[in-house]
Amino acid sequence: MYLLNIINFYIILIINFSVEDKILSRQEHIRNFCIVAHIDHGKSTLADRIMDVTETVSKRDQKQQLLDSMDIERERGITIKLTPVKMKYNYKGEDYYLNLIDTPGHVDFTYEVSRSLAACEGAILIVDASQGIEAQTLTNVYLALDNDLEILPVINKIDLPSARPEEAKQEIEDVIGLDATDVPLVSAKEGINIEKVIEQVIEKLPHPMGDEDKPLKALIFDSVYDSYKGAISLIRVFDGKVKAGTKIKMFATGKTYDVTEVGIFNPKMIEVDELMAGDVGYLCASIKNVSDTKVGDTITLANGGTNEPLPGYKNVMPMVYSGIYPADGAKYGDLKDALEKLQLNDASLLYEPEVSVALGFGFRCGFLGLLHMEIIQERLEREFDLDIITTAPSVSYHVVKTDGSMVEVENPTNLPPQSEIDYMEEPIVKAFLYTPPEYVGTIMELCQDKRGVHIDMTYLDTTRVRIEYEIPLNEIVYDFFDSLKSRTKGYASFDYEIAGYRQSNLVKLDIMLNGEICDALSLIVHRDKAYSRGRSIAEKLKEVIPRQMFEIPIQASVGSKVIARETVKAMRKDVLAKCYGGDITRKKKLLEKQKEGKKRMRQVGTVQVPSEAFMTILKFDK
Amino acid sequence: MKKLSIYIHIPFCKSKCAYCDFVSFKCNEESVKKYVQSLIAEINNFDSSGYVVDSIFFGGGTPTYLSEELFESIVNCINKNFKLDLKEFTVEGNPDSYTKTKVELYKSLGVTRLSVGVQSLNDKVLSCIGRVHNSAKAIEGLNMLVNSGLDVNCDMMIGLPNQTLNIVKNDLKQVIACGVKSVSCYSLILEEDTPLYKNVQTGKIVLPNEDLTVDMYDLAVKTLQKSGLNRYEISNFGKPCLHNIGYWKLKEYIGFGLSAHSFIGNTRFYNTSNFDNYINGSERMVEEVLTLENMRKEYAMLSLRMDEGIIIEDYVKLFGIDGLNKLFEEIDNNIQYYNVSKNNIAIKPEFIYMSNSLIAELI
Repeated sequence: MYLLNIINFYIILIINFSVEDKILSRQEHIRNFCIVAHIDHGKSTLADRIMDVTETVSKRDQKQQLLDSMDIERERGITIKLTPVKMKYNYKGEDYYLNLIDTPGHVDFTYEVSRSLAACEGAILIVDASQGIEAQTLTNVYLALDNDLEILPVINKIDLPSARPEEAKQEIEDVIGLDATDVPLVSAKEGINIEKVIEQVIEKLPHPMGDEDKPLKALIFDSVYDSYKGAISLIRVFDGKVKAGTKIKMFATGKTYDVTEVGIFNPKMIEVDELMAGDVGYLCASIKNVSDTKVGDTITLANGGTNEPLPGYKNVMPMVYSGIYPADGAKYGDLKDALEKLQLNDASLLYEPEVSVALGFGFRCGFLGLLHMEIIQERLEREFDLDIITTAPSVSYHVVKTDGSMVEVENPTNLPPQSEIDYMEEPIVKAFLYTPPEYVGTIMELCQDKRGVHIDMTYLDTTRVRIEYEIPLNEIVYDFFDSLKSRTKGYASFDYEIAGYRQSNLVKLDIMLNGEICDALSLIVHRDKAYSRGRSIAEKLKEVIPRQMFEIPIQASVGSKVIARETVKAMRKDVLAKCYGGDITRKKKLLEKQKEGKKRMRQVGTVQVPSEAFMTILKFDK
Repeated sequence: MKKLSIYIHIPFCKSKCAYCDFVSFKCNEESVKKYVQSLIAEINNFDSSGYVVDSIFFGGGTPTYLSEELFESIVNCINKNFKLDLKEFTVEGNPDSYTKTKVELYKSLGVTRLSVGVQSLNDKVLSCIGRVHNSAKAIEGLNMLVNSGLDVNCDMMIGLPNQTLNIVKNDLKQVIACGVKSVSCYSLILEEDTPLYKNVQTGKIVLPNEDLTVDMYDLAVKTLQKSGLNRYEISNFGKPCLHNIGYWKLKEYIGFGLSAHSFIGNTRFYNTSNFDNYINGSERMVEEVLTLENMRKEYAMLSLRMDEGIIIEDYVKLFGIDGLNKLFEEIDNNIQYYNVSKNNIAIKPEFIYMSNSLIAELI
């Protein structure tokens, strides 16, 4: 009996051991990684090649497939944003599973990038053999290091005549501090040395080390919407397992769901029985809104789940706001539908209805940043074929009233009367500018002009300087990007993070057309900037408002004080040519065209204002 | 019998003016002959029953480009095919293209009115817009035409390159001194795909700005009115042209020739503007069939160009009291720009030069 027990114990031990061995061995054959690179350094080409070598469907085919499916899916309102791919590679007689996770490539989406990185154990860092390390390369390195990723540097574009791989190696060692002796020298374009990259991924990047027996802990790193399946979460399982039927809970919202399907990306969605610790895949659970599958949130079991969510979750707040109105007032419903559809896939887009005297019914929208704003505007125009009017981008101000209460103001029109305001605060960003040394002077001048406070300046090497400034966000949303580009011939790059709120002497700048305030043109500006902004807006409006049957004064005012004035003279002539040979229809068409043009104008009091006028004031001053 | 106007398009010019985007070109004798043959065939084909013609207009191009024989053959063809009760018969031309023989022939064929494209009497201005004549020839021509005893209308332009207020005034004074019965004064419209357009785009030629052009127009109105040539339409002064008034009052007209337009019954037609297709007998094409409501709107669009505006009695006859009520609603927003009396509705004279903005609201 005793002996039997001992034998039993050993058997159990052996079984247990072999099970653990099996689990570990399973995860030992998984690598979760992403590729980080400066734009144009060949990220997607390298991804293509890796997929070719692993005999996964090539990206070109994949793109074709995605596009094909997108046409159908577009009608259903889906766009696939990030596509993780699961690849298989046989190395030294053993099969390895490589999950390549795509990352969005812009500062607006830093948080999304950081969550994608958090789903990985390692990152391939691409360095361009001729360009070396660039500003974005460094930003990405820091992000990867923040997420404790093992970095695998790769020098790309060695096929170029201008390639200087040895110098690039030196930079990797000097600037980033990584050992570069064994760095693969590749040409993604020519397919040179791709196997070496894959082998290093397997050899040098750590494998996941989750515990399948612990309660489920999975990270949502993106979500997409499908009108049949609902919100689909893209997940990385850290601990435990999940399959159809599992009852899950979202940490951020506390809501519970029944999982209906789990699967992997190949790169198409392929259903599997179960996802386990270390796996990357997707999960459907009849979730109606993408806002319920928050990027960065942790999924666990509804019953007996973990108490500790994965770190790093943030509720993303919009930083930039602007009014979006249909150019044709009758299209309000279409605009609303379009925004609803976009939000299905993009939980970071916020919008709420607003009414402008000048522009009628529209929406105040919140964006993560300027690029996000441009993307949304462009998608509204391109995908939904809408003609929209956008008001000047604004930020969220803290207005502390004399009664001690605080209101957040995103729309200048909603600013309480001056007499009720005790003081105001505006968001400040920490701006990092990377530039060749010859532009330091002009950049500092620009930052100074934008009310920036100089914090630091570092020479990264002989060719690159990092300048750090604190700048009010409302200066950045105006024309900072364009000015920076034009002053540095595009050589400088720029990144920013929110550094908090600061008290500031802000005023509301109103624009009056023929004596009436045009609310859609109002701005909140620093008092020192009011005069110059007022003048420049009045001058630009004079250019774009057509002459009408009466004289139109354009005035910029702060409070009741007019600080700038221009005049659009009364129109005196608009006759058409005579009609030859009785061609009345031609004449009528010309008049109809004129009438159509007028329809696209907005009535501000008695004045017809063309849509362009609202955009023109956003254009940058040289 | 319904009244009808006839328009004949002669698309030939000795050379093309720099601002012109109408259908006209230089041509060899052979093609001109062929063209006239097609024109005659087209006229022969038209069923003119039920119509009496009270005005004929030869426009172009340059109708005086035609030889005497060809011109006569067209008029004979019209005579053969139409019942005529002519109140006006106009032939357009350039100052240097009328000859004494031609004018005598025109007179004998029943022509009552000659419309001459002078445009300017300043040689610098003329060469800038690519006109073939010079000022001396123009005045000589005008005098000859006036002496023929026919009514002479003179087309003048304002807003031309190198033109000044003084030039406008002197030009008009000289034209008036020749004894013309009427003057049409058009402002230059810069049309795309013309040599002038290109020169303006590239900055080679600078046009007077809007304010100067309007000052020129105001000066022209004043100068002409002082000499008894009163404005009756935005661009027309002196003795009214019945043919044009027909267009502005929705009278029926038939156009023969390349790219000519017609309005018969409630339908607008147009001819091809492709020369070869026309020669090969391309059919007249329907441009638009007007509903009563369309016509009501067009009527306002056209007659508001005239100083007398819309005659209320005529308007009610065509469109009823309901139509009139609609019109009043339509102009209500801009009523400050209109003179409304018991008899007519007209745009106030000080706003007539920007009537398009008002008319555009009505169509």
